Amino acid sequence: MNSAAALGWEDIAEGTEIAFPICVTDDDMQRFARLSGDVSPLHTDPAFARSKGYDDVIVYGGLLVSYISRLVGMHMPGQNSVEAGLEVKFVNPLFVDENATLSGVVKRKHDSVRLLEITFRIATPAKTVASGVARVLVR
Amino acid sequence: MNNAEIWEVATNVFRETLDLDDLVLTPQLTARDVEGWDSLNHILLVVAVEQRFGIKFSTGEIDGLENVGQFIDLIERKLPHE
Repeated sequence: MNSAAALGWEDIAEGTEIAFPICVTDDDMQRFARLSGDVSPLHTDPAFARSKGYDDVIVYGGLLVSYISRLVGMHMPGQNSVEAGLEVKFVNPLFVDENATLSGVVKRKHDSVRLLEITFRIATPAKTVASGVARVLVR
Repeated sequence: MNNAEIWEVATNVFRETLDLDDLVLTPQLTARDVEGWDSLNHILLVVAVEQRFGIKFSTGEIDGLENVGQFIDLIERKLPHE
């Protein structure tokens, strides 16, 4: 079933915001490990993660990026979009089962080339986990 | 900003966007002459130029460009005149 938004260029305004909750489960982590082939102990072995100074295994940055795909492909602007680029900084670790929010804002519309710059932030109430900008073509 | 300054700033934008440190812009230069200047990078170039110079283009203005010289002329027309 296709439940993606279908916003057109004229439907989108600078300043438009979108947000949704995210919470990565242990099952998500195992599926991402199989998908990516990244079974680094930092993401799979709590004892190893603690030996590196973390409270537990930390969520894959790549898995967090997958939520940007959802932000763009399902919400803003949805099915009429093609991702053209992504810049992301991972500021603090996110742990499994930790509640967070992904929020995005349409920062700029470039009418000449129909490209959006969407700034985003993944955060818990206590910390920013990741932030960056997605560049999205609207077709 | 005078013409020479526009060329200098534009050269830096092109070099950064296309990741070509030695790229030299000339009026007759086109995308076909530059490795890596593909359709996506062309879009990113336009966006980078808009941001660096603080100007906005229309789709028609961009579609009509045939070479770098015309792009620089367009930038010059868009910039506020002192």
